Amino acid sequence: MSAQPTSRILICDDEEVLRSLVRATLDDASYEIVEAEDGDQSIELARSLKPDVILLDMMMPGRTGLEVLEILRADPELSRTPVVMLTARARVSDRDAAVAAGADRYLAKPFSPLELIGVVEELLDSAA
Amino acid sequence: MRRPRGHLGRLTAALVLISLVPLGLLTYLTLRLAESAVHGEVERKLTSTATMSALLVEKEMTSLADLVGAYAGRPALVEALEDAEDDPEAVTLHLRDLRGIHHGIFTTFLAEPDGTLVDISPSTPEIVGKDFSFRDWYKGVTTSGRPYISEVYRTQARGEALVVAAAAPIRGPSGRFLGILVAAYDLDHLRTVSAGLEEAQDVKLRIVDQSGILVTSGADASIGLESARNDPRVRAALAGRSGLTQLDTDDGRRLSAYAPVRTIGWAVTASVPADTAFAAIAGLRSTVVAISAALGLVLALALVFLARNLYARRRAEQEAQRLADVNRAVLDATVDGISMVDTEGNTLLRNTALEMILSQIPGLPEGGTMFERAAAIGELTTDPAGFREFMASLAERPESDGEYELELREPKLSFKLFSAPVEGDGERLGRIITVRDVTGEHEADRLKSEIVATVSHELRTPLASIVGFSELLLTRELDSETRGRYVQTIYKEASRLTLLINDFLDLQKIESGNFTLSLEPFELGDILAHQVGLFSGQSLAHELELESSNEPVVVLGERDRIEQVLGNLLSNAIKYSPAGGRVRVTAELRDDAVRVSVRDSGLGIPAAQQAQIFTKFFRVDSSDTRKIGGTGLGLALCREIVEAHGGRIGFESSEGEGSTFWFELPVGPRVHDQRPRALIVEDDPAAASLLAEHLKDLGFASSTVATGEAALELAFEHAPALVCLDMALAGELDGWEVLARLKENPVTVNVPIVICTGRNGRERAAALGATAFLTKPFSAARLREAVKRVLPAGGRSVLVVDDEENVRRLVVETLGGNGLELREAADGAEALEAVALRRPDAIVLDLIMPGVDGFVVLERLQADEETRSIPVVVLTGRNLSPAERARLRTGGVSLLEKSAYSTGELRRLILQAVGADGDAVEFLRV
Repeated sequence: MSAQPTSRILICDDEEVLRSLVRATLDDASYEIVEAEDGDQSIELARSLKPDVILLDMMMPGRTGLEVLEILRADPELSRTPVVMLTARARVSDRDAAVAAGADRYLAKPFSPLELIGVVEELLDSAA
Repeated sequence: MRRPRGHLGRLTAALVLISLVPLGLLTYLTLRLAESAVHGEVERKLTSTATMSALLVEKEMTSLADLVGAYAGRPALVEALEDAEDDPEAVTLHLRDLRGIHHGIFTTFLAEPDGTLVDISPSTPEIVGKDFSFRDWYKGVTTSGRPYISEVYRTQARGEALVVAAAAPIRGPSGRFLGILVAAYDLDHLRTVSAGLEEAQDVKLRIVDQSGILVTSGADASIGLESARNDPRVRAALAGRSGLTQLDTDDGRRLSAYAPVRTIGWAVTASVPADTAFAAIAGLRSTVVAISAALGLVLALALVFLARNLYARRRAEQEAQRLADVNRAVLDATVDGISMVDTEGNTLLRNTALEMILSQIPGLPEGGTMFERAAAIGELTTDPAGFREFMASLAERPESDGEYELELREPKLSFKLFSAPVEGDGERLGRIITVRDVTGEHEADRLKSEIVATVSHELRTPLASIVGFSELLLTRELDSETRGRYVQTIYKEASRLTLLINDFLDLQKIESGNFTLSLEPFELGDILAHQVGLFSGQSLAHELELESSNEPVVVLGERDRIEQVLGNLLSNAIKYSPAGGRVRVTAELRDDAVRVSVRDSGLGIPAAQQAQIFTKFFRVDSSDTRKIGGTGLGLALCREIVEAHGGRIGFESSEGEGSTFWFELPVGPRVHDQRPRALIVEDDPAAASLLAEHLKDLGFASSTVATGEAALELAFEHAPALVCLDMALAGELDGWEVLARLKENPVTVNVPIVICTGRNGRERAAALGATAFLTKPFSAARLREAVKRVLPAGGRSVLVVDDEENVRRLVVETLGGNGLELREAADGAEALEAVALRRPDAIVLDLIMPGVDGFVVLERLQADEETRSIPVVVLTGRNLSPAERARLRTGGVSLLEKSAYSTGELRRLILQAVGADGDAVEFLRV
C-alpha cells in the first residue's frame, strides 16, 4: 500500500485533544494531517493546501462549522471537497442543517476512530 | 349607590318646593285679590243700596212732608181755617184734596193747635173733637215748628196697618199757629218700594224710624212695632253714621251697610248673608285651590317623574361608567396588548399593555389607521412580505379570524398577533387585535436549546477523547510510550468531565433551589491563606500575594463553598494570565462586608464580552484564550454561591491589562476575638501561607506582608504578639534592617521575633535581639517548638465571663502578655455563644450574672461532650452555700473568691489549665 499517494486531511477543531485524537486515529503514512484551530484558519488552509478531506467541528467559537462549510461550498475550488462534520450536537436538526449546508458525512461526538477511518477512506475512494 | 339616590331625593324635594311655593303664593294672592274684589263689589253694592234706599226713603218721606207742608201753607186753607166757622166745608175740601193727591195718604186730618181733631177725611165723625196731642206728630210739629214725619204707629183706621203721619203746622199770615195738617201715610207703599229694591239688589233692606222702630223689613208686612234699637247697625245709623259691618245675627252671619235718612232721622240697613255674599269667593277659592292643587300635583308628579328619570339615567350612566371602568381595568391588567379598531381600522380602544408594546417600536406614526401602523411595523419585521400578506387578508376578509407571529429586527422582539371580528346587533363593529409579546418565551426557548446544545457539546468533547483513545488502545498495537500518552489523555479528559459534571450538578442544585448552606462562623483569613498556599505551588510563572487586614474577619458561611469561590477565582487568574505575573489577593473590611479581590495582570476581558462573563458556559473567546480550558461554569457557580451567602460578586477588567474579580460577604457577628496576632513578613506567598497555617494551629491569627516597609508600619501601629521574619524581602528593606528597627522601637522592643530564613546568620540575629532562628525548610514541629519557647501560652484561648466590665479588664490585664488569646463575654448567653463559636482552652467564669448565670453556663458545658473537659476557674464575690459548692464540684472547676484571690494565683491557675507550664494539669478542687 506504500504506492498509495498521501491524502491530505484537514482537521478543524478548537479542542486540541480532539485534534490529537484525529491525529492518532489517522496516524498512518498515507495521511498527511493538517490542523486548524478555528474557522478562519481552516478556510485559509483549505484554500492554500486543497485538502482531500476536511473534518470540520460544528461548534467553534467565532465562525461556526456551518458557516465555514457554506464558505467552502461557495468557493468553486473547494465546493466538491468532501467534508465530514464532527459535532457534539446530536440532534437530528443539527444533522439536517449540516447536510443542507453541503456536508458529505456527519459524525457525532463521541465517535469511533474506526468509523472515522472508514468514513475518510470511503470519501477518498469515491473521490478517486 | 346610596349617595346619588339621597342626593336626588333632596334635589327633587327642592325642585318641588321651588315650583310649588310660587304656585301656592300665586293661588293665595289670586284668592286674596278676588276676595278683596268681591268684597269690594259686595260692599259697594250694599253701601250703595243702603245709601240709595236712605235717599229713596228720604225723598219719599220729605216729599210727603213737603206735600203736607205745602198744603198747610195753602192760602186757601189758611183762609178757610180763619174763616172756619164760615165755611167748614172748605177745610174738608182741602183735606180730601190732600188725601187724593198722594197714593199712600189714606187719611188726612186737621188738628187744633192744642191737638184736638177738627176735621178728618174720609169723614170719621166719631173721632172729631178728640185730643191727639199725645201723638208723636203733634209733638214733632209743635217742637220743631216745621213739617214732621212721625214715628211709626199702628192705626185702627186702616186695619192696624203700620203707618206714619206727616204733619205740618198751619200758620196764619201773621204767623199765628192755626192748626196742624196731618196726612196719615200707609207704609205699605214704602214697603213695596223697599221690596222692589230688595229684589233688585238681592239684599235685605230694613228701614227704622227715629225711635228705632222697624218701619219695613223687606216685603214682610207682618212686622209689628218692633224696636231695632239694639241692633248696632241701627244705632250707628240713627246716630247719623253710615258704614259697613259684619255681624252675627239671628239669620246667621251677615254683611251689612247702614245709612241714616238724615232729614227725618230714620235709618236704613241693607244686608246680605256673608256666605251668599262671598259665595262667589268661596266658589272661586275652591276652584282656584282645586286648580292649584291639581297643577301642583301635576307639577310635583312631573318633577318626581323627571327626577326618577334623571336618577335612572344617572344610575345607568354610573353603571355604564363603572362597567367601562371595570372593563378598562381588566383590559389594563391584561398582559397582552389589546386594541379594538373599527371597520376602517381607526383605533377605538387600546389597553396599557399595547401602549407599552407600541412604545418599544420606534418610528410608528402617532395617529392613522391600524393598516397604516401595520405598514410601518411591517418594514421592521424579519418577514415584511408575510406580514403584509397577513394584514391584507384581514382587510379583505373582515369576517375572518387571524393569527400571525412576527419578529422585529430591531429591537429584537417577537409578537404573536390574534385578530377576531367584533359584531354587535348583527352589525360588524370592527376588530379586536391581541398582541402577545413572546420575546421572552422565544428567548427562553432559545436559551434552553442553547444550554442543551452547550451541555451536550461540553460533555461530548471530553467523552469523544475518552472513547476515541480507549478504542485506539483497544484496537491498535501501540508502544508503551504511546499507550501511556493515550491513557494520560483519557485520564485528563475524564477528570475534566468529572469536574464539568460536578460543576454542572452544583449549579443545577443551586438553581433548582435545593441548595442549603450549612453556615458557620469562620475566619476568612484562614481560607485566604490556605487557598493562596494551595495555588502558589501550581505555577512557577505566577507569583501569588496575599494582603489581608490586620483584624481577623469572621464571616458566616459555608467554608468549603467560599473556598470553592476563591479557588475558582484564583484558578481563573492563573489560567488567564498565561504569561505569568503577579496574582494579588486582598481582603478589605468595608462597612458590614468584607471584600476579597483577586487581581491578575493577564489577558483581561474584552469589553464586548464583559456582560456575559457570569453566564453559564460562557468563555472569553479570543485567539489568546482559546487554548485555555475550563467548563465555563466556574464564574456562574461563584456568583450563585456568593449570592446564596447574601453577598455579591463583580469584576473590573480591561483587555490586555488584567482583571480584578471580587466578592463581598456579609461580616458575621463580631466576636471579641483577641487571638494573638502573628505578623508574617515573607515575600514568598507559598511560604507565608504555610506559616499562617502552622500559626493558626498554634492559635494565632496572622497577617502577611511581603515587604519590610509594610511590616514596620503594621507593627508600629499595633504591636503583634509574634513576628515571623524572612530575611529576603520584596521591598527596599531586608530582614536585618526590619529586625533592627523593631528592636529600636519601644512599641515593638518586647515582641518576640522568630527569624525564618534560608540563609545563615543565627548569631547576628541573636545579637540583634531575635528570639528564635529557623532555617528553611523547617517542619511544623520545629516552628511549634520555637513558638512555644517564645510564648508558652501562645495561641491558647481563654474566655473571660463577667457582667462587670472592670472585673473583665482586670482579668484580661492579669492574663495578658502571655500570648493567650483572651476573649470576653458579658453574660452567660454571650459566653455560651462564644464557646459554640470556638472552644476556648479555659474559662474564667463569674457566677452571678443577669439572665443566664454562671451555674447555668456550667451545666450547659457539662451537658456537652465537646465542652465538658474545658477547665473553668470560677471567680465569685459571693459566699457560696454548701449546696452551691456541691453544684460546682461536678467538673474541672477551680474556685477563686474575688475578695481573696491574688492575680498571681489566677495566672498560675490559667496557665496550668491551658497546659502552658508544660506540667500535667492539676486542678484545684474545691
